[in-house]
Amino acid sequence: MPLNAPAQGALTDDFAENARLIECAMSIPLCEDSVKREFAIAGRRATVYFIDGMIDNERIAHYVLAPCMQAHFTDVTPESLMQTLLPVGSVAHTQQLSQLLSRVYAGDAAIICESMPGAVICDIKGYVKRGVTKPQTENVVQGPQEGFTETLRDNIVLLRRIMRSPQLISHASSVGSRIPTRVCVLYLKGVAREECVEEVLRRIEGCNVDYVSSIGMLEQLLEDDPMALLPQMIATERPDRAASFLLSGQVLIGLDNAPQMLAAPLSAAALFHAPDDSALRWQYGTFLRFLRLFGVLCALLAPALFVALTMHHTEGIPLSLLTSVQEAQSRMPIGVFPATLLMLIIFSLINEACTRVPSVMGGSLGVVSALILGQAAVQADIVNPQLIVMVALSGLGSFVVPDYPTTIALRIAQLLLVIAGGVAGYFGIFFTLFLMILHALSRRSLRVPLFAPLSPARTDNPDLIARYPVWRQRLRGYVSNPASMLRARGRMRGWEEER
Amino acid sequence: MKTTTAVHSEETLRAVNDRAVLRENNLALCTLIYAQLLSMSALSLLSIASTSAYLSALMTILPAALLYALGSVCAGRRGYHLPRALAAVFALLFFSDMALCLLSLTEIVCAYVLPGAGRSMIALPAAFFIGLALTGKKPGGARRAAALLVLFYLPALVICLLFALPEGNIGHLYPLLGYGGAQTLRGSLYMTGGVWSAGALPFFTQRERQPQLKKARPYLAPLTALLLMALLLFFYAYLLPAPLLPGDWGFVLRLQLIMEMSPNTLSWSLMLISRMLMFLSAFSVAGDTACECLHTAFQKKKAPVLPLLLLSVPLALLPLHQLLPVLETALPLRYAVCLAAVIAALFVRKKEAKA
Repeated sequence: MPLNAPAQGALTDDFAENARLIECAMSIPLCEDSVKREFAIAGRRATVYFIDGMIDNERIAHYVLAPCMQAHFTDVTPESLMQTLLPVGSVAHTQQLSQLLSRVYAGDAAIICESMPGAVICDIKGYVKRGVTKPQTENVVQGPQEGFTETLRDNIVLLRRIMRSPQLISHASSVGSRIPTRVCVLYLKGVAREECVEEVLRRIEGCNVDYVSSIGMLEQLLEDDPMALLPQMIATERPDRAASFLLSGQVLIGLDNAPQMLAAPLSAAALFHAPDDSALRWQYGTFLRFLRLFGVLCALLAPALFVALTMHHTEGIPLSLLTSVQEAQSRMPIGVFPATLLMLIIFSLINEACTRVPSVMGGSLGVVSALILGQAAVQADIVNPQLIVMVALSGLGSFVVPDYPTTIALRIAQLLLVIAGGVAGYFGIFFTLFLMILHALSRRSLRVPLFAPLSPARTDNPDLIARYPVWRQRLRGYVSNPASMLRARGRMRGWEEER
Repeated sequence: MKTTTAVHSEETLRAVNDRAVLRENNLALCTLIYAQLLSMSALSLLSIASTSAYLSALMTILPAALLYALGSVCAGRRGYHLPRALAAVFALLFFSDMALCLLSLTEIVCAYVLPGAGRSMIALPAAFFIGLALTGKKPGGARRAAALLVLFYLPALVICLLFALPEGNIGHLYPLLGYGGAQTLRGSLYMTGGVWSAGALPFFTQRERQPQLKKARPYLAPLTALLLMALLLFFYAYLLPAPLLPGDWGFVLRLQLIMEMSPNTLSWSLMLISRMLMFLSAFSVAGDTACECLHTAFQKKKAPVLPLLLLSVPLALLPLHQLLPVLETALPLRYAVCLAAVIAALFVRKKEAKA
């Protein structure tokens, strides 16, 4: 069998042939961590295959090798092994070589025995993995502090722990023709629309790639329009947020080796919702949401309007401010338009550098950058101080968006608007903004309009822009199954009636 | 536990959603009507229209309601399908709207926003990029944008009302006394020419309706009437200071006057921006709807948007002083053409029913 080719073939009751097939596929003895351990079951030759480090050595010794070596019965069949010999939680019989290999490389052990057809697979996984820790990018003040890990099974367990219901369905499959990676589709039966679930499964099945390394790569393979600026699926690393997506009727997609899960179909308003919005009282949540909206508007428009006003529409600036802007600008070696672009690019550069450097250096880098961006640049008469204020305001505004991909989209849009404002003033800015709106409103997520229920306006949970009081959120998301759209019958604060 | 709130059934929710579709289409088409009315001010047709804005606006509601009702009857009996011949007429009318909106946009931008820019530098990129954004399988984008941007027009209007209007002279609110009956009637004729879309409205709002949604229907006419009235009042509000000027003064000068009157430049900027966005929304909605009409008229799989939008560019580049006499004649005629088309459709349908 050529190296790197997917293994095909069937296992029979010919022990020697089975061993040859498996060893050839696992590159034994070429590959040093592919382990073959020979032993005997009731006097018959047997071999167990596993990957060193992927299994738990104690469990294989106590629950596989010891019982097998001490067995006395004569009829060695897959059923007898599974039913009476192997005290392991999950065992299976297979005659497909490809299935055997995928399980062995996922951390299981495969046993073949003389005169036994096929192989028996035992789940004795014991590889190293990261424990459950705090989420890295979705921090909250109030609410749970645990995040997904790189192990898909653990992620599903975290979800199951929150949603103890038989309605939570997980549908496992794999993606990647050369190196298959486990992918799991989760949904709440009766709450998610069936057509959405089917569409996700259809798209996953239709992915024709050799390997999927990250959830972002999977997202690009599954989303409706990969050319769009805005994301059409949302990734979360918080089990509680994933659970709320499920309850809204969305479908979750989890991938092995990815500490996030994707949720679709997406309503664009969710991109601006923070995980702890629902944990806070509605007054606080609403205040924070409006603050975030203001931040987004500042991030998008502040630098562009500054350029347009100072270059094309000076009549729009109050006279006192105009005088100081013009006075400061007269000392600058570069114009407002290139200076704004430069400052925005430098700001993005610093942000990227702070994200990539080790955390111990991050603080120092931030301080140095702030000095360069602020005081030093102004004192050296490179940029005027009003511009620094605008860039800082827009930078802060972009950071209030909880979703990281959306933050990047916002920065790209910001640059485009600055260019448009520099070239054609108000007209450039609002024409570009109109095109962006037109483009965004035409996008879909799993065939559902991305900006629904804002536009097109649809019946939905009113918790969109303002944080609606919990007891008034009687409806689920627009994307959910209409039959179960009502979250509760009667008043949510039912005790008020009894009083 | 007793239940005091009505439980939403699947049918009710669908009905509510379909009503939302109607509302979205209505909002988009009302944006179009409003933009047409603003076009007149942008194109200096105000010499006739704006001097009698207050009464003209009120006098427009009745013909618009009449046309809307006729359109509703026709669309209802047609089983919500636009007749092919009528679609062709509407395509032409929507095309004229597109050209008018682009012309008005170009006029505003070149006259005030970017005084040094050539007209082609505004009209061509606007048509091209909007055409690109609307091309492909993206149904409804233009209407959704128009419905969403209504949220922006409202605060802009409120700010203008707060800052710009108190400085106007309320004594000039009575154009009938100041300008006479003939001028007021001419003004209302122009405005009526702008609300021809009321005839086309029902054909597009009722297309997505489901048979079980009869309950939703009674809300449609009052909603549209309310929206029309609100839009006409917006128009009136925008033009309130206009009677201060002689009849032949242009739009730009009027806005300039408002700016000089109001020290608050925010209201001026918002007014300009809201008008630009309004024209852009109306241009894209008219283009999108014209394509839909062409698609119905010629039974094509997909009518191309981009070439249609680009076709309107040469019209927007024509010199305004040559175009004005034609516009003064042609614009009010559109109402008559639409009225004739809807009545003809009604009669054709009656004949078909008899046969």
